[in-house]
Amino acid sequence: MIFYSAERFYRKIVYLLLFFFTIFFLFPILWMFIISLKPVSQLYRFPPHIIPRPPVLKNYVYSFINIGIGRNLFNSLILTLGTLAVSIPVSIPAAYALSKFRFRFQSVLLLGILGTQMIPGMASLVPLFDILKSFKLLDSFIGLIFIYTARTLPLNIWIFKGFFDTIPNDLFEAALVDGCTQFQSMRYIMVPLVLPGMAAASMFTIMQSWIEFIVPLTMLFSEEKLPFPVAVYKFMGSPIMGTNYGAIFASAAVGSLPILMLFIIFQRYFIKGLTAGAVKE
Amino acid sequence: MKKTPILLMLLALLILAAFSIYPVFNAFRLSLFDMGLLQREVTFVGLKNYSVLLSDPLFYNSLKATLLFAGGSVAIQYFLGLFLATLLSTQDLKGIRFFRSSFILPYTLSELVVALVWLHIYDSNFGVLNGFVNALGVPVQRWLFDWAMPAVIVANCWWGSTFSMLLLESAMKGIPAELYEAAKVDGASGLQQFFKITLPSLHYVSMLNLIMITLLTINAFGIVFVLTFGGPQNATDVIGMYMWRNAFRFMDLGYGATLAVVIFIFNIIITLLYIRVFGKETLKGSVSK
Repeated sequence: MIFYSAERFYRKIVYLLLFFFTIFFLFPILWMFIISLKPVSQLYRFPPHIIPRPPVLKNYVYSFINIGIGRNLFNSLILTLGTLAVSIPVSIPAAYALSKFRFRFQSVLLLGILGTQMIPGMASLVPLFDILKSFKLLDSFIGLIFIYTARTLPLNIWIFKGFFDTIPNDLFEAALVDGCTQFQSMRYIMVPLVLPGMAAASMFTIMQSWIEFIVPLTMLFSEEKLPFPVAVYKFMGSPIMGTNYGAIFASAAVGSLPILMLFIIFQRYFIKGLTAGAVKE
Repeated sequence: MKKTPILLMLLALLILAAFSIYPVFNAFRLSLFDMGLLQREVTFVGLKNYSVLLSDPLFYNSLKATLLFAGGSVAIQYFLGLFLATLLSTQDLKGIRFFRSSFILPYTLSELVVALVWLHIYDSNFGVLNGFVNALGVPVQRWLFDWAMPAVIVANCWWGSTFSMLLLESAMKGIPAELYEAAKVDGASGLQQFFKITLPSLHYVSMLNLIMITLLTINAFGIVFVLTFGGPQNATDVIGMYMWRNAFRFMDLGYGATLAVVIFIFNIIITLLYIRVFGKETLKGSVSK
């Protein structure tokens, strides 16, 4: 914590600024929910009303029944759970090896793994498209799950390594003396102790795979496979839906709610996951 | 070399090799070919794509747009992040969790949602920004036409400043309190404390932060994609956007790959430039930590 001289005048200004920025950051999100609750007659009014009167759920009904956003949310869920199911189990043993073993080229490998984060994901779109094409993985969830996994692995490995590092080696050696194999000691001693790390890594992975937009837009073609951000984008462009802002915003709102809720409940782990790569606590 | 650690890392290494590292080489390979998006036939053309690139006015335009977009976004994100982090570090702040959460929330949204919301805010017919501006007596503006670049930068910073703030805030927490106490005893003002203690202590994290947000901005074009799709008249046609259009709209995978190679090289140059500016010592200090 920083200890600036905290005179009352200074504090008043600080609160004023904080409120200003709270409005700046929160208003567009609130606006999305407000629009999603507006009846059609009020959508194209200028100047716009801030409060919908009366608020209606019609847009949500339309979004689920006529657009079928439920299908897209389900696709997003599959992609997210799939990535989680690959990325976490793959990163734990890797982090364990980097934390508890000493071997040649260890630091090079660690730097190399973290360094892949520096490879710009968007520039990789073209070569990745070609790679998925040759593996016949275009327009499939499996191809996307591999891409998402590769993007989340470095940070997840780093998060887990941080937790393994804090566990004393004695504990681990004692298990070996008692006749555990390396794998058993990992499974029964280390994994339970890194559960908090699991929360941070999972939050990060879930968010990354749920909100991804350009990658699925590029790699998926079938209407019935689109995750929610791509589906919403397609509605915006379609001649019938393009003007129905209410239903589009309702779709965007239901798609954003899960992560907003997760964030509000598990904020601590989110922040840990986001800043893990840079700052050791 | 021991076998166990390699076995434990095998899957991770394979996935990273195939989907993170190989793409870089594959981009170089593809850039040497004339190939469509989905057809089978490819023709080796050597460096032809590169000579096309060098005489492509739209490529130079995209460099200019990228410089403006990234320059504006990075400057705002860094200073806004620093400012918010400083505000949040005020002693005995009430409601700190509420404020911090509010600032982070935009970062949990999809780029598509961010762009959609701002698209509506900027709308020239019934947008809330024009409603606000109108109430102040300023004439209504066509934000995404006449103010396209500032408009996409603001939307991008609304979404991206969080990262900068979190990184700098957690680094500020790590600055020993004794430093500030000693400064106070010596009669240093709040501003003096900020410039003499806080900023120098953030040297390494600032470099890291700048590198990360620059790469993030150059490579994130989802917001531009939805808000302007590079327009009007290519004013916001950042290089990622131009690459995407060439590869996936004009179906010219070879040329798209050439632009991807340029982006890769761009990223390396920028990273090296930052390290150069901040001094190699900063990097060494970070490794030994």
